[in-house]
Amino acid sequence: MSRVVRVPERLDESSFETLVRRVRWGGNPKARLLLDARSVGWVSPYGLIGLLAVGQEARVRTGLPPLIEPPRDSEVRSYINRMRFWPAAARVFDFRRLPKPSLEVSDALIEVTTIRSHEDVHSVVEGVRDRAQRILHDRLGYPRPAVIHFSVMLSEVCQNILEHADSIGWVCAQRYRWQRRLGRDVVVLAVMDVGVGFDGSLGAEHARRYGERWSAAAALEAAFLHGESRFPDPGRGQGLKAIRSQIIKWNGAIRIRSGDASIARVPDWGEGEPLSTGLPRFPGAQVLIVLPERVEREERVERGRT
Amino acid sequence: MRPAVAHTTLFSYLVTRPTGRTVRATVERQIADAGRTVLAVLDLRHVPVIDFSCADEIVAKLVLLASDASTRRSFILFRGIAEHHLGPIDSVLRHRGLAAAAESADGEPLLMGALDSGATAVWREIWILGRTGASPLADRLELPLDRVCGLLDDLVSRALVIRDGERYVSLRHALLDARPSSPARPGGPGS
Repeated sequence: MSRVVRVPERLDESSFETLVRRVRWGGNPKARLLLDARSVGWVSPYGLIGLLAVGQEARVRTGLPPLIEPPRDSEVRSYINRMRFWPAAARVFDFRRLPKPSLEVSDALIEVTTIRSHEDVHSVVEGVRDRAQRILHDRLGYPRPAVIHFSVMLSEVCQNILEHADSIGWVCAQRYRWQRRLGRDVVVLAVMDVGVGFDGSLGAEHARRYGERWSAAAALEAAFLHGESRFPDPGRGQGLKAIRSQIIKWNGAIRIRSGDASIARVPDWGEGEPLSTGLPRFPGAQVLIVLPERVEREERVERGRT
Repeated sequence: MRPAVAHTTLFSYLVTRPTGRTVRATVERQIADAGRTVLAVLDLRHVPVIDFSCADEIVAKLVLLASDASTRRSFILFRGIAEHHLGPIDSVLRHRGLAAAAESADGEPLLMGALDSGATAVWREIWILGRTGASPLADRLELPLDRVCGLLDDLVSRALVIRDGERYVSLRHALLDARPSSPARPGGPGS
């Protein structure tokens, strides 16, 4: 007997919390999960790989491969097909019939990609260059070196899955228009895993020092703000700090969710709190990075910083 | 002292720690196999991207090895450094309080990482002169001799210059002055 969970109609970083709440609470936790995505009418890169994360978590927890009902909306179906969602989903969900692979050319910066090894990280980073050039430089007005800085950021955030999560993960990035929120084009990069999370990763090295104050939020602060790592090697932990610093330079946003907390760099145009606790508990880490189209005012500020 | 020279030219994307470890292991093997003090020259001219993890595994850890006076077997010179390499490399070196000698893709001297301004000035003079003594340096920089001697000790201990009796030799000069001990050969999967 499967437990049916309805996927929100609009699936992004905000409604991902609703999905997690529905999956984690209520019903038989050991029953096979059936994600009912039929009414999904819009999905962001975060939402797309969020489906994989939720499916993988259920698979690990129940020992049963979950099922998924694809969206009915033809545009959404076409989009997730172009984003190569189904090949990645086939490793997570049990399909009776895998949708036909898309023959359409995707305009995504990075299609849904499973990260299982360092070779996968190499492949993603080496494959993104031309598209990053076209999207970040040509469309969003970033200077040419930003393409390399983006590659470095991508490498570090994907490695985080392998180095700290002890789990597989996924990455996906897309440019689209945030008309209501920002009135500009943005690149949204999402990276997720369902591994041990920041508190699990850093706990052995740092939990004793924090005592009762140790929590997912404390672990996120230690890693994101102070560059701490689970490894005693003093050279570790620099990647995340570097990502944060680059995002500040670009006036972008980053939010990392882990366990029952999230930490964020909230820009002047952004919404949400720098630190949130009491979220529905979910394993691993879920990262959202938003890079906005450049405007003259921000370019002046960045030039002033360098 | 005239060190043997070991060249490594890197070509691919230097991303992820395992890649960095493989490249470093290749260089360390070259140093160990030489059986004498080695000037290891790493050319990054053809490296399109280096991330922080790889910069730490390759650059910082090789510099750390070279600056350990108790096991001094190597000096490290980085060449072909471009603007996009500098951010990650400079950051990982500063994080560990290290400095590395380098030459930009245009052939300009570059001191990457953390070093105070006095030592940096002395290092640049030695780079320009190639081989010199403490007194000429003190004259050129208009600094007291004992101050210059202290700065030179610091540069030698960090393996940023080579001490040859009473003379101090830049790594670039040592490279130009030396014949390679072996033909240039690729270094690891990045080559």
